Amino acid sequence: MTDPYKVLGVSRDAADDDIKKAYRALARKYHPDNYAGSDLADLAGEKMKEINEAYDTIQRERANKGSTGSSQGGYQYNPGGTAGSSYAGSGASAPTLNRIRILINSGRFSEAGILLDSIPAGERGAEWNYLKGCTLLQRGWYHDAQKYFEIACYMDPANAEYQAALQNMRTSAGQYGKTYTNIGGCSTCDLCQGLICADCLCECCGGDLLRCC
Amino acid sequence: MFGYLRPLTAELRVKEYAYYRAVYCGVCKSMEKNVSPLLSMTLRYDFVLLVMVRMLLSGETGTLRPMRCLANPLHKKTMLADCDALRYTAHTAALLTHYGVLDNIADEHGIKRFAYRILSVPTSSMRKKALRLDPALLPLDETMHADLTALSTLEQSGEMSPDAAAEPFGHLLGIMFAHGLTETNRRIAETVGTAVGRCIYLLDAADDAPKDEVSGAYNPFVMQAKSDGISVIDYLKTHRERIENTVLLSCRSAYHALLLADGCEMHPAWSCIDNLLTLGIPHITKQILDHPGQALSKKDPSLADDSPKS
Repeated sequence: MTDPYKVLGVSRDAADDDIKKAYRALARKYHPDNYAGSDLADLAGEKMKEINEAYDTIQRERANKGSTGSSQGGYQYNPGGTAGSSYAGSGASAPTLNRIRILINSGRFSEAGILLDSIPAGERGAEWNYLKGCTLLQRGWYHDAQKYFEIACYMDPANAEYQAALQNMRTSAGQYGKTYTNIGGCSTCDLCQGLICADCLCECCGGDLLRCC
Repeated sequence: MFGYLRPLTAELRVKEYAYYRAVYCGVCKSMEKNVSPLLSMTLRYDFVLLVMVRMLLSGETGTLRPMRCLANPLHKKTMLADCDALRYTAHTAALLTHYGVLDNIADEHGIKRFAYRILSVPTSSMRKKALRLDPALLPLDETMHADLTALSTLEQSGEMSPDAAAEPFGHLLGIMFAHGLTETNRRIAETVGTAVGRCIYLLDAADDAPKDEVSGAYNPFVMQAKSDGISVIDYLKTHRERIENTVLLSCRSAYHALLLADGCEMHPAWSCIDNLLTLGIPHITKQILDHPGQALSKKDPSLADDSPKS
């Protein structure tokens, strides 16, 4: 078996907290949500399994040696969390739409897509748009997937499932884009504002930072 | 390729920036040496990502050496020395350039079409040379031809969906990134190539949309705007979030795919790839969508000072 410490990228004498930290960082990196709908979900699953096993092995080893480290820090994740795998099934759906849901749940997206396209335009309601969005999301057709989720939400604003699918897309994109939006320099305005705030604080304490104001 | 895949140089460390430039110059040199100096005129930043991803997945680290280049023969520049990833990129660039010229012959009229016809003579011989040097590229050549024909058919049919229109180019790049790699790495490369191919197509479409609206050339965003009865600039403003999310989620899938490659974060190219996918492409997307209609300069000023082509 591969060295569990090597898998987690920590040394053998690392503290329990460091091991937990390394484990959590890796678990976040290979979290199934990051590979939802991806062709590489199986590879990510294997990687996650390897990390979990390594962490469990280390925890067991240390518990046997009487280490004081906690063994309850395992990373929990919700294996669902994607629009395509969180269907609750609805009794009110037409039989065809239920069949499509089953196909999507079993990963047969192209068959689901063909069935969806066979439904006449006049019969395409909110659920049809939602399911269409799910099949497109899996293909990586994000533009159209978002469009269909938006239509589904517009047609049935009270449906939590449709709202969740749209929100999930937005959150994933937003979190990824955060790296970019978080960077940015300090403009002249930011600098002046900062100085004025610091001056106000100093004046409150009886001092003065900027004599001119 | 179009030059949209480039890093946000302001966020690169000095040694990462030097590495990126060395790879860029290495691609140029490799095109010049392995195929033809004419091919190096078609160099785009996008090819640098292809080299770096191929190196990362094949475990090649490459060697940086000071070498002379045609653009400035008196001054030696640090370049990535010839390696498998560079040769592969030069050869595939020759194939892609030729098909790009053929596509332009079909699209243009009058004097421009005549000019492209003349240009197709050397590009055809470059393609033949690449295939002679690397006969294993023949299936890739056939895929390129098939995908670009499919793209042309979609364009002629007036495809409304930007995703459907981006699909053939995404598929082409997926195969191009993955060709010759095995098992897991092939799957990773295909995912990365497909995602960035879609990004390139959509960014180019958004960048050219106002121009295409005037000229009447095919553009999926113009088609969508027409069906909504608004101008394409209004369409891009209204649906900005959708377009931005599409690019971000595509980059995200490419980024997470690469994380599955063994030892990716230890590779010298990783920091440049990381920057490119998490900062560079989002930055270009923002620039394009912030100023629809003002054709984005395809030259990054910070890279352009001694990189003659973008």
